[in-house]
Amino acid sequence: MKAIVPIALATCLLASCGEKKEAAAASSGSPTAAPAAPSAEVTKVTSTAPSGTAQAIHTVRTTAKPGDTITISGKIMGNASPFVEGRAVFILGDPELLTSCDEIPGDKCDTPWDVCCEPAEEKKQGTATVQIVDAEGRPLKEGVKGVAGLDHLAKVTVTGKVAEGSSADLLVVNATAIQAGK
Amino acid sequence: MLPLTYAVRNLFRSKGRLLQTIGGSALVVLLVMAAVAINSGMKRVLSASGSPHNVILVGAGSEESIQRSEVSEAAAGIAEAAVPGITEALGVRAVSTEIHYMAPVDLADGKRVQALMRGVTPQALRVHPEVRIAEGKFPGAGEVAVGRLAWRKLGITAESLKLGSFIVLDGQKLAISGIFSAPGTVLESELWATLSDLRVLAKRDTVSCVTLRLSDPADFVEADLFAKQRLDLELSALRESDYYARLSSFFQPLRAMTWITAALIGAGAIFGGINTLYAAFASRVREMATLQAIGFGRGSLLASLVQESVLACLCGALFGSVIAIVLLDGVAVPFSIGTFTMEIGPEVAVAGIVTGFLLGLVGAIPPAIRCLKPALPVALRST
Repeated sequence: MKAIVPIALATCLLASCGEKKEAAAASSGSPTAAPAAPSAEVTKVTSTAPSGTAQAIHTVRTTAKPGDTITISGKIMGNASPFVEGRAVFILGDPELLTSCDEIPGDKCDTPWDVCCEPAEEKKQGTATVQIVDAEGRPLKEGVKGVAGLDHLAKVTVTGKVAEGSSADLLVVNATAIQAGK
Repeated sequence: MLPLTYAVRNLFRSKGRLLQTIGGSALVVLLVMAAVAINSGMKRVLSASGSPHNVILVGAGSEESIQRSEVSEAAAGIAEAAVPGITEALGVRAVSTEIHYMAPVDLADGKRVQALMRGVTPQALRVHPEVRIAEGKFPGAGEVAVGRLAWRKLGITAESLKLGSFIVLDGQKLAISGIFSAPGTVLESELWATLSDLRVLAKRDTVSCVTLRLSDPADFVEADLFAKQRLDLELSALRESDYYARLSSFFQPLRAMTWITAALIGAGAIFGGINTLYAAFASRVREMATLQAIGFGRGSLLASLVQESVLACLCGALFGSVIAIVLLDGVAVPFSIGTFTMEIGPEVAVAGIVTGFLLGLVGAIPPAIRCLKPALPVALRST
């Protein structure tokens, strides 16, 4: 009988630890399961090397027009959850304009990719949406987080066509080549 | 094994001690039941407030608080046209543009209270179908509809917010045109005015959020995709259920405090009970030794002493439960963003009974062991 109380307490404590781990994993956006194998379309784009000289997002967005082919580089950041779950879409941030929290000395932010210390206008100017689309121009229905090194704060170079609807305020790139580096 | 009647008869040997045990355990059981009712009530209201069908588009960076969020009003129209899967009835899509505004309001009796206002259009009823106008009508210009439990949240009498009365917000008199219910949600602690009135009174040129109701919760990804493809709108898409779940975790320390308080008082009661039983059982060492001498084993004597204690504590649990049903059941408790109702349901009742049982068990075992520990010859000679 005496053992019941310690066992119950230990069970409660273990259960609490489990909850915390799950909550931390959810908040950090860490994958809880290995990503499914990418489709041929995604593999094709992520295994093609970008061409041309990579430009900064904040400079190219003012000159690029829908249909132009551009090459940009940056880090996956600029939003608390830069990947769209179940879609081949992510947000690329411009390191020339935005500083992720992990590069700020002493900052202990759990989600450094949200660049929460940057002003909204800088975020707007320094981010672009990168997507891998199907023949109809719709984003593929598969997540790309964890595919070919695409992860939070990964340095990425992208070549692609500027999507319809893009403007100086909004840059959406339909990627044809993506390379993620360290 | 000693018969149960032996334990029952022994209960009444010291009526004072019996009353003390029953009273103490009733108090602890009452507190534990209150803690469970508060925890489950707060959790229930926050989880019921967020529908998995609803997506809230808030300003990027304001995911933690809708009140701080700023969204351009044009975003509502763009989202309505661009996001697939929005519920549609009679050709109208369920998209509600809202302003959430916490502000001091003056009541008819001159009292000033802090109220959570929501600026809405009739579209709000499409995305919050749980809202029903119980009396009066939906607010028009210069009017406000009050939630059924808003009076409790504001700490005033229900009479102060009756139909036909008025409130004053920033010098503007708003007549109470209706009373609405939204059972089990924080919405019924709010005051709803028209979006245009609140835009003027809150001096805003933006709205707080755009709420979309989706036919299939799985279509959330479409809203998230929209927010990330339209970075120029500076939006963030949140599941309404996730938003309230996050609020629920925000209130976790408060809920933990109720548990800690109940645990501290419970621990005090256990130590008090142990102390009382040490004295009570110490005077029965010879009686126990005699029972051992005539053939009862230590195990059955221990069980009998524990039975006594558990019976007394379960009586206390019964009294505590009755008090909880009379005093706590149905009581509306205000907290910072709304009001929840305490319910003494099966989960709370079980928590009370288990607490009473554990109090009796844990409180009796150490004194009982001490009472039965002395060797038989020594115990028989004890005074």
